[in-house]
Amino acid sequence: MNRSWNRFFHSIGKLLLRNMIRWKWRLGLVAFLVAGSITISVLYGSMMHQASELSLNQIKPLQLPYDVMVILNEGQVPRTSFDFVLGTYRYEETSGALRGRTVSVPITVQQFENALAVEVQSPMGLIEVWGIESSNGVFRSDIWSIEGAWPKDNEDIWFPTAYREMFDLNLGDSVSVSYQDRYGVRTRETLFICGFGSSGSDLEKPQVTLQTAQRMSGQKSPNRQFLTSLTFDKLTDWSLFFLRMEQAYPGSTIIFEQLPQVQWQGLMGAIQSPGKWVLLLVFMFLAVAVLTISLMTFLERKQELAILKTVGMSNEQLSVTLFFELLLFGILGYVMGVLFVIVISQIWWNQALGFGSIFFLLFAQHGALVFVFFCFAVLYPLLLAKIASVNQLLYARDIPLWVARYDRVPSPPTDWLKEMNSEHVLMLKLTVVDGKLLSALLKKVGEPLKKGEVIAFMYSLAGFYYQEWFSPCDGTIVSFQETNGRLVIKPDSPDEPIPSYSSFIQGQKKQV
Amino acid sequence: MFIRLGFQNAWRNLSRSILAIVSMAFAAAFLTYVISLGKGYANQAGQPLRSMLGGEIVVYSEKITAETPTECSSWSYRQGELDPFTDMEYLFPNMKSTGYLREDNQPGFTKEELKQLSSFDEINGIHPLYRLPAETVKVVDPEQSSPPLPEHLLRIQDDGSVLGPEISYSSGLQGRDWRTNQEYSLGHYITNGRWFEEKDEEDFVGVVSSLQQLPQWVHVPLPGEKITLEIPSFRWIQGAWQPDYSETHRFEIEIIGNVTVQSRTVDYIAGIDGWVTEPVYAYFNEIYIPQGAWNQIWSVVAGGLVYVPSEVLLQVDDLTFLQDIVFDLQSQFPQFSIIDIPHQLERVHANLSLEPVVPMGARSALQDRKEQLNQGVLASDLRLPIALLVLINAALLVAANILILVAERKKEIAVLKAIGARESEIIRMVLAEAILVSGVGALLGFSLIRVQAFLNQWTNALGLLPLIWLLFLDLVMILGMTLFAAILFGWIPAKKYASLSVMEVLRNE
Repeated sequence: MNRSWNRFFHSIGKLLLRNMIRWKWRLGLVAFLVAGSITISVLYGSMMHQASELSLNQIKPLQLPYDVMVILNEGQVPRTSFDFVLGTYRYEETSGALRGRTVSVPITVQQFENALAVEVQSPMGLIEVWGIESSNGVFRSDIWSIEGAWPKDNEDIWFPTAYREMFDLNLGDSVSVSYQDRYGVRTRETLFICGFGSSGSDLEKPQVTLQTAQRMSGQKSPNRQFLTSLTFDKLTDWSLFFLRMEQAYPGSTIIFEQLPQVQWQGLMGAIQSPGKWVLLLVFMFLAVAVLTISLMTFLERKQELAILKTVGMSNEQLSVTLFFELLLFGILGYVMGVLFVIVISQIWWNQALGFGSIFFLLFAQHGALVFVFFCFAVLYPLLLAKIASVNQLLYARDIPLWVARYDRVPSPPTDWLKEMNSEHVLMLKLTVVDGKLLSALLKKVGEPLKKGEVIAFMYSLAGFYYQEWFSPCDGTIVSFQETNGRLVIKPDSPDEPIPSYSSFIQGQKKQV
Repeated sequence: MFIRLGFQNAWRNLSRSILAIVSMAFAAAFLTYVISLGKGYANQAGQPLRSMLGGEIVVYSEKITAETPTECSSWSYRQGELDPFTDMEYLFPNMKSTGYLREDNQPGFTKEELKQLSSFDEINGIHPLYRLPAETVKVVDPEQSSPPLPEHLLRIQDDGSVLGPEISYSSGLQGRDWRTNQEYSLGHYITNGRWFEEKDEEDFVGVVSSLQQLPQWVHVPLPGEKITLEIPSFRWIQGAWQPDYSETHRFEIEIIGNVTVQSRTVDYIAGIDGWVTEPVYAYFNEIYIPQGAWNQIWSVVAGGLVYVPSEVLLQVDDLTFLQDIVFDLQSQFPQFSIIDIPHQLERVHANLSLEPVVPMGARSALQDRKEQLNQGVLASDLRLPIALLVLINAALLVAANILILVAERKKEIAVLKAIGARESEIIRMVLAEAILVSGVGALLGFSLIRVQAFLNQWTNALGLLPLIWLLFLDLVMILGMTLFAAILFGWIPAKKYASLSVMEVLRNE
């Protein structure tokens, strides 16, 4: 096996080398095209990459004392049980019976808390105040460092520490707030500051007791729900998470620590979607150009290929030769492209590409894409070289990709079928449109035929599609009608079988 | 003679010529896309929003839209607390609940920056948004309310008379200059009453939308009616205006006009009626008052402090270069969000915030079209290199096409030479064909991309002559590039084949 491959390559090696030297300009053009495409796509891709991935580091994740906050829609009731899974994470078991296997673990909610948010007008502007139960596990946990006390009475209000510095507040100060009921009627009220505090997290809001919030909003049921899960950090599949949250809380807003990153990625995807089309356009450009060149080179040496085939070169050898001469120059172009990118990014473009993993990743990605388009582009001439016969290479004007050959009518009408059986003749149907023969007829009526002799042929679809009608037996052409393309052949031997058409049921009528 | 032969050649091998034309059109379209400057918007693009805001380019002092960030900046997530001095509250109310990303260091407009913005090339006018949050207070008349008021809301006075409840709802109070151009005022959207005139300058008169989102029992004030506004006092704390609702001021304003703004029309299929076109109207609670009156109110509520806007509208002459101006502004002022009105309108339409009432059938059709923020800002600093590389690619494509055309006719060229054609004549023949094919292709590709932009610009204030000059420049650029490539790369193979000896070619056949 190994030896035969060796011989295979040895046999075509010299030819390959000679071809490459002979077509150096044209193949150089291919290399140049590949280099240009690689340069454009890598520079463009790296720019998009920098815009999205690298700037992702500039987005601060949220710090939250809970894992997920759900802002419920109006009229939505908070859930009391959580029998759903937020997602799964995988890890490799290191001990026990399952050692070495990957285990998929569901991420479930362990704890959930509620709050009632009310919007009030205050000296600090329009603020959102949360009514929290005193037994709350998130907002009464040890992570909060507070000064004063949590709200206990109806008139108590508690502020995050940030408010104290910004508005110069003190413990015991009175705050006049006003709130609207659902009709739009305002009520004014004075609350007293009972404490300040912070957990070091974002999105902290002033707090009152649940009863106060209920009185202010005139609403009993909470509109915020806080979920806590022990393994939430391990969640990476956000699509499943969003799906589950949408099932659990249709139409509500969810807030979690990674939300800024997820939002940013969505935004960047939307912004960069036209850029991806530009890249695709560049690759298509390459494919069209390479196709043109390879096709041209093929057409120009049809005769030469015919000679090679005649002296015994196999189809595989031929296509490998053609493919490799293009591929080698493609690789050359790729290397040139890499050099171009390095030079351009160092000299021209102020943001030089570093030689990090992204650099190689981009070259690998775009190189693979270019390779795919490249292969598509060179496929057509290769196919042609492979399927074309020596005769076709030498004389045919077009080499079809699809060939159809007929020795019978594919689905004859009933009267034709009857005539075939009664007169014992064979029939062909040539392509006729509006009473004009489109196929080229090679035989005249009354001329004798040998089995397999071509009677008519036709090129269509700009030479891609070739149809051929040949004689099914030795015989004579009895008649040809140009109106419907019917060609009748009388076979020489009377035993010649009439082709059977299985789709026609001959014989008796059946009672239904 | 030989030029005609070249044309005949192109015609004879029609399928191949068409292939070449298509690929040339492809290259030219790409080139046009990259280098064509004036993409252009039609004159009427985003007109309702231009009238409502008073300009063509919106500049927010805080950076909230994520155009590809060029400066190293850190972004964080904000929830609630939208700046009430901008129009974001009524254009993007959904941001309030879902939250949004915002750049951390936001300096706000300084005087110098405003001056720079106004002296920017192509910017004709600068109009700070004079807006402040207000509450409209309305006492409901229990006699006339329908459905009847529930009893617990009625207030019984000492003298026994019954008063309805005081219902308030949030609005925005915008100061507008009566002097501005027609297109920046809501004058032609007036359906009832009138828009401001010179005599109103210092009067407390207002114009409101006839379509608003209001609480129960409250109706839209008609011309002649008076409304009460409750406005908090404002303090300047840490670089931002901070409303203080514990200290409010009341102002009475007489309504002199109602506007009805049609934001767009929607086409949709409705049952057996087939395609239906229905207008969609904008709902907004803004109250427009004359600039002078607004200044008076501001001096009362802000205790004499000078107003610092957080949103500015820029005005340009025509929309032909709008995107380019925005692009230049954005690179000069990376700390602001700069959006052109057509894009802004797209975003407003996408979240249906101004259009709570949409025909039933159209709503689903509009929801389908809903997209994320579409800020197709194309790559910045690589425009030139990419254009250049694309040009090289296009030129190579032309070269390949012409190589094919010539190589196919090796024998013909030899025959022509045998019957006495000169080398230069052969070259002329080949070049004629090459120029014909690439010229037609380039025109095709050019018109493919440029026609729509041309039609858009036609409606602008630019005038036909400069417009045609613009089109001509672009056309010359594209044609010049492709024809140059065609001639250069066509000449090389033509020369090569024309100089082959007749014997050599014919012997090899």
